[in-house]
Amino acid sequence: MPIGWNDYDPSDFFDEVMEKKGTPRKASGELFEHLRKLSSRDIYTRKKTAEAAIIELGITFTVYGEGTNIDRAMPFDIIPRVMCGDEWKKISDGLAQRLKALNMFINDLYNSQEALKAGVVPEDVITTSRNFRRECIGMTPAHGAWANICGSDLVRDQHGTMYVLEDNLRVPSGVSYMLENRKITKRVFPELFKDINIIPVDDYPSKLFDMLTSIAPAGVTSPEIVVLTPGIFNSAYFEHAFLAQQMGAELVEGTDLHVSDDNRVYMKTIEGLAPVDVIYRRIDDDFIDPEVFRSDSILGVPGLMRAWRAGNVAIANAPGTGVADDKVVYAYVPDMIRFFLGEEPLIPNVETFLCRREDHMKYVLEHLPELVVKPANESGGYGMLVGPHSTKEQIETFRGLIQQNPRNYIAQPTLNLSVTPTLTEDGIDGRHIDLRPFILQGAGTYVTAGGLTRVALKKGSLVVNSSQGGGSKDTWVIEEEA
Amino acid sequence: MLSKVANRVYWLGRYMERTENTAKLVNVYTGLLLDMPKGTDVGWHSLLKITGSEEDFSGLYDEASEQNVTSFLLTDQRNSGSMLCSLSYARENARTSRDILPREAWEAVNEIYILAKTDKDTILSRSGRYQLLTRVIQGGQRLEGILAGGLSRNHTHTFLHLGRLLERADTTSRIMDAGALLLSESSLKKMRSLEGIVWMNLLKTLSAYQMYRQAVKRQIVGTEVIRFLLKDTKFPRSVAFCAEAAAVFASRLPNSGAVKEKTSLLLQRLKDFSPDNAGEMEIHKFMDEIQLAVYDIDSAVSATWFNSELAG
Repeated sequence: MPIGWNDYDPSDFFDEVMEKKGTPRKASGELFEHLRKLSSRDIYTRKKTAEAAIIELGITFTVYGEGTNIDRAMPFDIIPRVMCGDEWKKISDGLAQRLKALNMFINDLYNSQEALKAGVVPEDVITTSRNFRRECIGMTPAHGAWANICGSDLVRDQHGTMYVLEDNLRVPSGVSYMLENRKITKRVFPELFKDINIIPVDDYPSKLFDMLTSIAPAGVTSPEIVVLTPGIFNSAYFEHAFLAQQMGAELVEGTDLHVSDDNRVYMKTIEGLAPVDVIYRRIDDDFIDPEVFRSDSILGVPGLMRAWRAGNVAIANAPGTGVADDKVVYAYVPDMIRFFLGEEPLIPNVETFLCRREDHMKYVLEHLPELVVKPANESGGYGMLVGPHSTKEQIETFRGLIQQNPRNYIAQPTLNLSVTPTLTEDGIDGRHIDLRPFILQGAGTYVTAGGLTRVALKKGSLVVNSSQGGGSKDTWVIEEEA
Repeated sequence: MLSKVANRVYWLGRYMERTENTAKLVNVYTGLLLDMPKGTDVGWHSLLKITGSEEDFSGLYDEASEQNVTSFLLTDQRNSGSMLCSLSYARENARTSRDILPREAWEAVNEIYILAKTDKDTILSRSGRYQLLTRVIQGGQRLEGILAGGLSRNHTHTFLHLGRLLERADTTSRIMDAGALLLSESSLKKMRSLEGIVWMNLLKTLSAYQMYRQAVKRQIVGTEVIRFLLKDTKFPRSVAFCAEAAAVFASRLPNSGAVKEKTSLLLQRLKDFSPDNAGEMEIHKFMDEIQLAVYDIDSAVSATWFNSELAG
């Protein structure tokens, strides 16, 4: 018995795979035809295959409780999300454009501040940003690139328009799941990879390696690269270990590194201290150097900023990059693109209200039950208000929070996120998704083919975070025949 | 190789060896007690002496009964030296070294841990205990096989074995100490007549019985057992074998001077010592010396490779 493709109805949402009931989109044709032929029993067998592969490959994220750690298998849906190559090309160009402008903006901010003088971004937004680091003033990292790794979240509305929801410029994670999802899907649907021209994604670690090599201090041609992790208790430790292993780099913790009086970074090896040239850090600014930032941090390396400022070590992402991760700054990215590049943005922002502006604040306070309110500098979905899914009490709490600190809040309309067919206990059903592509910028720019599709596994839910019951899917960008 | 990674792998070796040794010790000791006639005062408290954990034990339990002692040594999480604790440390070290070990190695350690944790209550009965411990020992041997066949002879391999060898030398000396102790403690003449049985069981604890027979070709007497377990350089659990092998492994590593020096000191002491005419107290004293010498080697290993800030 087939699993109900004929009944699958995306209703009013934009569906990534189906044009309308019974009709797949152009890029999804082969996938649809193939899946339609599978019996319900067959498809659940494939689901089991995937689950076994996840355990076998050890694809986990870490959940902690009662002093013992539990590696939990990543929830994964076997039905891929599909995009066509032409569409992806535009998005990919738009993402590269965006990161380029963001990097020019950050570099400008720590140097001549032309953008502030020209009023592209209001000065007080920067002076009140807790991620603006005065310690970085005067610095220009290699190629002017501060954010070397960026994970921007994309969402699609009911009309099919793709928007940037936010830019993650600090320590964006998820790329290892993008790679592992592809590995699993290859095991689950090997026959599909024969017939469909799916752009591979597994060159990411080598692109990352090349990018990190390209930002090494002057004169260093084959740099010693390390991945700096907060340690095994971090929920993204799996990813840190994965990337280090894939790049053949050492996975280090703060205590494995040492900055000498000569302002150079060394790692502690069994042969003594060995010099380090490039650090891919997965620790926030606040914790990287107790000499400069939080003095109580034990995760970081005392003196790291000295070494960086002296040009003896490259840090990706560069310290101070987080200033552009601010959701208030996000609102100005389209203007940055116009100012620095003289181009129109290729991917629009989601309409954003800034509570620091009186007119916006008035609107926000009047429309709280319809809006999503976000604090400027949180990540991982913390401290948010989703108006339509909130109680009166929660809304009143946020009214107070916003009035107390308008600078810290933005609001956006609640989007009708696109859906995609997802295997549930009762067959195929639509679930909301977003997409996190990864963009690299060093000497050159690189955008992953697709990215990590996160899916809200609960019916009707808009929450895609894995910590809150979200899962992920393989993401296919399909190259059409010329 | 990062010092921290080397340290983790070294301790993975030590904890796995400790797990196996504890399991063997309790297994064979249970057998030994079955052989002891009523009236000898060989009891479960002796096992605490062998493992040097009398004090920790008395802080937690009133009476050295079979139940209490075996729980304490095998599954009590409050005892950081218990088999289950050693195993959980080994598992943690294997988990965080997954990227440099053959994948099956992590799976093997994890499997033994899950087995021991899930079935830990079966140790309350003698037959259940025997089965569980046998499976733990087999699991450890499976890990050895995986590593022997699947791990490159690189620094990871070297540190794993250094850890194993030092732990093994330490255990072997403690087991000999136990033999001497058992015999010296007993006030009964009867006990003397059981000397052969005691030593035979201790040889079995170290899986050394057959090899002893082949190498010594004599009846089992204390001095010969001690000579064999101390000095036989062909038997892989003898102190001399472990020390020599440790020196060879150490010499593959950079800056191994201090470690090799401490190892030669131990080898020299072994050469100079003769068990002939040595009384129980002398044997006991000498085993203490060996344990201290092993401790010195361990300290040199730590200082040389795990705190390399100094080396730079």
